[in-house]
Amino acid sequence: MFSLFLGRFLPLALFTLLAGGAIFLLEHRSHLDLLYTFGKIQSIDEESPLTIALEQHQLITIASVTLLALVIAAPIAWFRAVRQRHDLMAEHQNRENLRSIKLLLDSTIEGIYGTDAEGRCILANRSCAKLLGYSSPEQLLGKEMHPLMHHSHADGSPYPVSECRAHQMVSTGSTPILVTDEVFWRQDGSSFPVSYSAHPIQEDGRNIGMVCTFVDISERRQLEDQLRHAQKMEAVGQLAGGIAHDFNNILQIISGNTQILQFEQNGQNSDQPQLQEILKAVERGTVLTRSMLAFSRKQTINPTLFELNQMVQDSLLLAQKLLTKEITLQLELTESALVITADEILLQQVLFNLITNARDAMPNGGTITVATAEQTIDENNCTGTLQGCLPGTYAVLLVRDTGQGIPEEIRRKIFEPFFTTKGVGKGTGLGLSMIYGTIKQHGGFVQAESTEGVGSCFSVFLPTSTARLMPDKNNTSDKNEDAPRG
Amino acid sequence: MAKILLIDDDPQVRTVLKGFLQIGGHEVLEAANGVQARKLLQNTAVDLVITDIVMPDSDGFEVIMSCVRKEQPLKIIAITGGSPNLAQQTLLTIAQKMPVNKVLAKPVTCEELISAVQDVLNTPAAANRPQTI
Repeated sequence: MFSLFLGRFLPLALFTLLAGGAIFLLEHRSHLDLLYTFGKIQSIDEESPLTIALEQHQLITIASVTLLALVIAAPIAWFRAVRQRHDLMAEHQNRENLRSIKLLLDSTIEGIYGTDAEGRCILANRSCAKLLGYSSPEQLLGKEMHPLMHHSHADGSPYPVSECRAHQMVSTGSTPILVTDEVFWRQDGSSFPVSYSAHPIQEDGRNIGMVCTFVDISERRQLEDQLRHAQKMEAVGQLAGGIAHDFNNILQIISGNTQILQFEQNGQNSDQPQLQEILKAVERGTVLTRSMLAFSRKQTINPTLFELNQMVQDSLLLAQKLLTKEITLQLELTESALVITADEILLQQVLFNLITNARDAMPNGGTITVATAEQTIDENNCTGTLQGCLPGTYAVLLVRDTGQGIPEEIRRKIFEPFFTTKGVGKGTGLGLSMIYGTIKQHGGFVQAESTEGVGSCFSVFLPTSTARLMPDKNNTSDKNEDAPRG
Repeated sequence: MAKILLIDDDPQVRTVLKGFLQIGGHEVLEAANGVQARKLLQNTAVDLVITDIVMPDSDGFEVIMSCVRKEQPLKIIAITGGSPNLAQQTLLTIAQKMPVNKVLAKPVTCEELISAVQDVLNTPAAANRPQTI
């Protein structure tokens, strides 16, 4: 404050002194001019009383000017110093406020941007730039936001600005809007599902722009889809389990009465083809019931400790019988042993089922690869396709084909019961759902990857057994120690 | 020929199983649940009890326990098609741990049932002493 005062005071005091000096000289000069004019003096004698009087006058004037400089300059300087300090503080406060606001805006996960009435960006925070694929918010300033990041619908069809709900809000109404069914577009041309709210910016009762906050809801959507899918599978599983019980009774009635009829007609018409057909249908129904129970995870599993690679090799001969000569079966097995606790027969069924599916995906022949691997999943990578699985070490059984692949739109449905792409009578649609249920019941999970025109790969993840020693397979007394309970 | 008590809550299933047993030459008494079965067993002697497991009111497990508590324990075949809450195999496994002579899964064929009945009837009475559960 004092330095501000001095800074103001000294120049002002100096100026006042100079000004006073100048006035004095002018005044002094005017006295002499006057005397010369009236001829009262011919020359100025330095010792004369007039000269002395003039010197005294000079001194008084100098003193007066100095005093005046102090009296005038000091309050003016003080006043100016106070005002400057106030201005500086206000400016600092403003700058601090702006910095806080920017920091606050940049610290949110939500993207925030503001536009003027024409939709040009007047403000954007760091998240906004990041979510839209820009390196800094400055890149957005002055740009028209709708053509930049809201130009198309999720399906890629154009989204004219006239139809944009945010813009309609600015131009026609003042009610804030919340939109959760649209996408925003990144700089690189990709899109993401978004939930955004837009509020009008009003001044003197009229809309002069809007502020929009948005979040990327891709992950939320994915989790919702997964939850919905899991609930659906659970519901269908419960239904299947419930139906299976009644189904067994119904099958008993049909097959029983048929057998009684066969017995009663024995000797009269020994052929009885219709009765045989009924019994065949009952047999199909029995298999179906078993598959439904497998999907609903209500089948009883008989877990034993065994080595996965050995099981695959043991199944090879039988698996070959499923294939035509146009299809090559190759193995890529791990060198290390993969010891698991599972129902070996059920797992063999899973393998045959996957091989059959792979065969059916390659009507013109190709290669089926049966591979094994060991994979450790920790808490950090239980995301994406591994979302929801338990961390641990898994033995993985992979069946890969070089077939036509599975279109993306049906990939999510393939594990649902009764979903099949095969023709009528060629598949029950229970094969993969049976696998899904069986593997879930074993504490594992199944993944399907596919590229259209290239092929598909089904990966069965089963928890590896912690047991170090392989007991005798026939010894069932201690085989269920760490088996999943069914 | 033996006198057999058949217990199942589904009348159509009873009719079928009764038909099988009659083909095997056996006399069949019927009950729709455990309560009816116990009443019948108070006054009538039978050689074998064939019981469903999942039934309303009084289920097959209660029937089995009441049969084995008798002074002269009865021979029993348990038969089940599962339940909405428990798998068929689970019920069968439970039944196997109970003092029954045989456990069968629905749907059962005529041949299987008659053969099972014959096996159980041929089992010496001493071998049918109830196990401790």
